[in-house]
Amino acid sequence: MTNRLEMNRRQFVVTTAAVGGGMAMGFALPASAVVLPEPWKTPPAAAGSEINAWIVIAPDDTITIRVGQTEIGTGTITAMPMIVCEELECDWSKVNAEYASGNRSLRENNVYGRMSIGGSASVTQSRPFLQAAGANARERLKMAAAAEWNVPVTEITAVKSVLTHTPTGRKLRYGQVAAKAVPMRLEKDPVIKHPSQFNFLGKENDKAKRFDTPLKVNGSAVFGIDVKVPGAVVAAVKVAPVFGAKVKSFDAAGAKARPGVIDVIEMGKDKKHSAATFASQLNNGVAVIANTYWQARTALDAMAIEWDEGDLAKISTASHTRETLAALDKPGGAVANKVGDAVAALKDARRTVEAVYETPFIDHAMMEPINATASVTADKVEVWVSTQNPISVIDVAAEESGMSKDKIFCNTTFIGGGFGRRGVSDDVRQAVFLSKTLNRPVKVMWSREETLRHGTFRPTAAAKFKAGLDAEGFINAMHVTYAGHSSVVWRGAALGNGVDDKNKIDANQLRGIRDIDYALPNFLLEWHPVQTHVPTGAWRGPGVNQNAFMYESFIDECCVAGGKDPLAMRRNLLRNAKDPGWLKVLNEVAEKSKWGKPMPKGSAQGMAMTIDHGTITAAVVEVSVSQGGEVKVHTLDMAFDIGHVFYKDAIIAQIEGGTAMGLSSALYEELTLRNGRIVEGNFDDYRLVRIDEMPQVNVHFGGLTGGDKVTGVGEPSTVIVPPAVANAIFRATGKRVRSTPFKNLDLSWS
Amino acid sequence: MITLNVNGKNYNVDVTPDTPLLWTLRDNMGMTGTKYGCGISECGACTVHVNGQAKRSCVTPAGSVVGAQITTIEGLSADSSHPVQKAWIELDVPQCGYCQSGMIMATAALLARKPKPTDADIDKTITNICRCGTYQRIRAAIHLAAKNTKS
Repeated sequence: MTNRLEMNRRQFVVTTAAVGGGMAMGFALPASAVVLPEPWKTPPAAAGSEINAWIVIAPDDTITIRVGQTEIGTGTITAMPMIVCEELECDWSKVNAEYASGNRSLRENNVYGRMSIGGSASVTQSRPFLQAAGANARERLKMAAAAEWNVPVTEITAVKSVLTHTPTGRKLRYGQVAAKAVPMRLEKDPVIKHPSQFNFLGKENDKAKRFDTPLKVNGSAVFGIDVKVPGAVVAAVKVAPVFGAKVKSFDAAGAKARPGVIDVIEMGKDKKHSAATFASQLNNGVAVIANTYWQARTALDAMAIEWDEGDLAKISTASHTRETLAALDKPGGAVANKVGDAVAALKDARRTVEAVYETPFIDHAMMEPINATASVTADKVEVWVSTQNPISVIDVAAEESGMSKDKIFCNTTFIGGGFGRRGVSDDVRQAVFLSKTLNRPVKVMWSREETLRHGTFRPTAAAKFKAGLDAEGFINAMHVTYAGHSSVVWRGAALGNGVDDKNKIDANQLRGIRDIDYALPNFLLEWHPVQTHVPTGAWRGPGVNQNAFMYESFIDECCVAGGKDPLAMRRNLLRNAKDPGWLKVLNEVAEKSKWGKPMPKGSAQGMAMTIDHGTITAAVVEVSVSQGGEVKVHTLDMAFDIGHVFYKDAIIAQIEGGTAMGLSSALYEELTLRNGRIVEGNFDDYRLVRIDEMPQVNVHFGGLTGGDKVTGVGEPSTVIVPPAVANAIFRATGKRVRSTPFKNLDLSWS
Repeated sequence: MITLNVNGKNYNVDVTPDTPLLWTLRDNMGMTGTKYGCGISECGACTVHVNGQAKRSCVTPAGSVVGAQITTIEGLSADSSHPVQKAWIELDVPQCGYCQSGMIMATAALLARKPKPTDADIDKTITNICRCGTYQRIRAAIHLAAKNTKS
């Protein structure tokens, strides 16, 4: 780590100078700007001394910390520097942030480690190397002070950007010794702190404000869609509505006659993607290039395009659902989990419970429609994009442009939501293709309709559950047959890339059933893949976002059949749980939500729990259902185990926001496939919850188990909502909800 | 060529009158704080003020607001000092932030009309969409801004 942190600074300075912009100075900035509105640009303070790739210290003690994970709304641009600050022992009030360069990371032996954001893993996975970067700089600053005073380094302490020689009380500020720390080299890496030793994270930083908020209340934050590149033209694009279909003909002349239209270009006639960048393939379609988006968009909308759709146009939700449900009755699915003999135990069971659950394709529906800007010139490619994954941007841009990766520069902008959609770089490929073709900078813009209909959707899934109950009413056997799209396998791609080849299962898609620590002496989980031509991918809490609904709702059915309270049933199921977090989280939410309290007719509590990315969550909701069947979720209490609290307010924000997204997915979200294409196109027919439907979210911290556990909460906050609401609806109405979205179901009661 | 008054200044803009105000602001005037979310007046990310009223600029033809006073997020205050902006900062409302210009403009218009809105007023008026789900904080920030606004 030390070597990687300390290498190649000279090379970096030279290269960034050559591309013009890495070390820019002289911005007119408000004094409070700690992140620039164009976050890929370097704040003036970064003109100080670079101690290592993460940390630059200016003579006035301003510290610029580089951030590898895009600020997608989860707080990374503030929280990642906080982790560095914990070890650097610096003055937080003087910390600035900028994005790390993906290009530099590729050139310098992956110096920034992980640069994508996803998997609720920003803190979990980045923490060790961010701490290491802070500790490395701290120790070298100490060495510089020791050299200055000619004293042993062991006599120096570092607190809030001040170095003190303890025997004499002499002091130096970080800014005073930063330049001298640059050539210092450590013999070995300092040991980083255990979370239990933190004195800033989870403590002093409690009241710290987010760096990006000031930019997001005055319109100055530059999102991908806002990027202004001199000389850039705008491309409105439309690819074949039926996934994988071809362009037959289009009226280019008519479009070119319209005001402002510069060109009309067919995209995706030739494919050049590798297996690794498969999801970014250039789909066949048409781009209209104009001076402004509205000129391009109206010309595109008016253009007659004929498509060659073939048999793909015969696929519909009805045909896909038939195929999926038929798979549930097929024997011989790939075995994903097997304990005891569930089939035999079910034959002998005193009582059995059986149910089939279904969940549809859904879209990420991030607020910023898809876009990307690229400038391909003879010696480099620059891309400006709202991305969850700058390395994927570089990979795709290199492949499409034919240039080597060291010549590709990704300028990561602010990003109007991602939730798993903005790491694919299909937008980048279009922009690079068009810029190369037109030999000028191009901003590609998708309409909302194009964005909603050409996502990498949450896959469909259905499951047939069969449980056997013992004499007491507890579950002693369960057989789950699972059928659906894989979230990683589509358009005929081979098994691999996240799929467990040995068992021929998509382990990612089975999370939330396969990894629950319930004591089931006989358990069998089998998987049948049912693929279509529809592109699918990760949607906030992949797999779990539908499996928690199906599995925890079925557990609730077993509670009813066995005459068990859901809390008592889950305590029984957790009797052998190795991780103490399960019971701790469950008990916390039961206590704080006053589980079991009397509720008026038509109202009820509902309970669910699951695990996502290592984070156990449990939720209790209070729901009322009108006699006409209208559902209102009033409160949601959530307990969770992420080990430790590092930035409390960001955790609360994620749980509040995740609740809204989980609720939308439960109540409203579905994509319908008709004639091979997606029917829904905008927020009128793809409904999301608004403020009037937002429940009061109460976040409870009593489930944390501490120790070595460090996990995230971005996705776990979403996936727990649908089953909790479904179980409350049953208790309020007597109607069992076995599919999403609930809007399709008659929930009236009398 | 039409003339629009935006944030107190007149601009001559070369657009056809049916061009939506949203794209006129963004593409022709370079004011990108107002966002495109849906283009059909569903999500509210494009909310601006026209003569003090909240208006969804994606379905407002530029030609229909000639002579009107248009205010965008860039002109709500010179230094983020509007009580709504201050409340948003105090509660760290935004996550991704994309919808927040529209949320703030919708809220500012509501407070101008109704300085102490009830929860029911908020439910009825703030119909913008936030996919990150910042609604709980938006509600709290609206009440905070109302409290901090001198009537």
